[in-house]
Amino acid sequence: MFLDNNINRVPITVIVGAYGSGKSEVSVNLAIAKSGSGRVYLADLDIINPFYRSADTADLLRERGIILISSIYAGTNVDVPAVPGEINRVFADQDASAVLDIGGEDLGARIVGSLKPQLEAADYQILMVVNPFRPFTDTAEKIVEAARALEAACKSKIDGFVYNPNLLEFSSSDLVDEGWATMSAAADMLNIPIRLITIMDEYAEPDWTFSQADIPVLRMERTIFYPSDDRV
Amino acid sequence: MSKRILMKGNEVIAEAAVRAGCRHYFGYPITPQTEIMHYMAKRMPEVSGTILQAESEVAAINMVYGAAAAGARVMTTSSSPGISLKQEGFSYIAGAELPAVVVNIVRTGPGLGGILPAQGDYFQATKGGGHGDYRNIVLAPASIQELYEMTVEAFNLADRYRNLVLILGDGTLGQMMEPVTFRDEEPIEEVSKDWAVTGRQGREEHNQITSIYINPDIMEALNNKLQKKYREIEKNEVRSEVLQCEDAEIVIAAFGIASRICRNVIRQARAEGIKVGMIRPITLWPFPSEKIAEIASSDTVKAFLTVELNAGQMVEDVRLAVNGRKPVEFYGRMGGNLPSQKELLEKIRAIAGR
Repeated sequence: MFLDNNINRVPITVIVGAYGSGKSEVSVNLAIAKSGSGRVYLADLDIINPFYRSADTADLLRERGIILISSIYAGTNVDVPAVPGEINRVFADQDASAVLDIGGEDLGARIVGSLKPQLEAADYQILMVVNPFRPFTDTAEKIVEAARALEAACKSKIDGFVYNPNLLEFSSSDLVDEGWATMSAAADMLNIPIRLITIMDEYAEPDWTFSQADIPVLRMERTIFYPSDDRV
Repeated sequence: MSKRILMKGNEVIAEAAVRAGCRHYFGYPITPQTEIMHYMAKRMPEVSGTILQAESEVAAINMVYGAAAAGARVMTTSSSPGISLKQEGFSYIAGAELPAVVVNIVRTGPGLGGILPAQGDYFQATKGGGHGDYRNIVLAPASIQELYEMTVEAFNLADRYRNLVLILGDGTLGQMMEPVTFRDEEPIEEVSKDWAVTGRQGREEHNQITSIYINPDIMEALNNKLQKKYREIEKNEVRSEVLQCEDAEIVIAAFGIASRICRNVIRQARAEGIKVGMIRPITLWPFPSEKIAEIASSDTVKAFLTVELNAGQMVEDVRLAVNGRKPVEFYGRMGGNLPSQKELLEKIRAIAGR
């Protein structure tokens, strides 16, 4: 099982990252992967982006027995950067595990700073999702800059990276190799470990393994769709 | 060609503008297009450009007027209620014949409406909004790659015709991400701006940019000149995409994100044996009336179906172009909702009598 490493040892996983880095897809899929073992919460704490967020997957999460916590304004016609008060359930429920999906950039990550007392009373880790095929994180230097801004906003260190090389339909296992130099250089510069590699299941051969480093791979299912996607 | 990069529609508009030589951006934030400004705030300093958050949309469009009058490539962007506020400025820009690029990432209305996607600003975009006899060139991209290429093209068209070019997107296009490939070098058309207010520069008289002429004959002459220019644009710049219309019995007319949804529906309908095609207007003004009339004249075509995220706006232009030759049906959703592929397929089955 991919989560046999220490990602699963810590009950609260906080997912941060640059805008459009894939935080919501990674958060939903992490919650799904955890959902076999005990009560799991997914908290959509995105106060930046009103569209295409993890709360969109409410039906799927319910099906998988995952408890969704999100703003009452998610998916509505207003843009209110509200933090759901229900988030405190996560901190009160000590037997459960949780994934906190945080909004993009340092602006979105401020919420981590504001939750710091509750987080510190529990056991948590902050993971930064990086897609080196996005502007502003397409070089090691830019990733370092983005990570430092996020750490300042979170008022905490980033504990690890989630390497998420993604070009939608142009994604492939080759793309994982292609972006690796950029990702690993940034990780080395910051001395922050890469804890997880993510790829949409449909874009990697069933028997594919990453050969350049011994890092667990999470094969993800697509959970957030565009209206033009190929489905009815 | 450079490598592929994954970008949001809003980001790509900003990047494309910078690549097209836009060095002045004036705006006021509004969801769902604020990422344009956010991106500009990071990007403009890298090219020594100016980004300014104005005190209002009215101020931003008048800053655009000023920069354009001085000969600069300039852009403002907003969403529906903000674009309403800019309408007076649009009219002044038309009267003064200034090249400017404006982006409207449409949200639902009327009034304050909501942040979710819509196409309810079609009338405003294509038929005025501001006062007087004027036209804006209106482009309707349907993918992130097209949003990039059309934003670059918008600056060329604006300069070529000394006209406002409006890019009409919607909340979905602004927010969705798709891979984009940028050209190594943009096809920037250099035009002489000897009309710009840049000081005397050795001229006998200084240039003037104005839309007021107190002599009615001169005012009429300006109007005639504008109309002549608009006829020229209608002759040269109509763009549309025709998809699988050769054997089509039902022809969908849809622009922007609605056309993207329809693409899959066409495939599904054809799998059921219903021959469906599509005409996608890429320029909403000038409108591809001739192309639609040509398709309507085909013996195979039985009916048209216009699909929009509004109560039926472009359908009026489709009906004018079809001119009674064939029935034109309409399907629309509002309030920020999008038509699902399933409901469109049902509508097509009903038209086909299945």
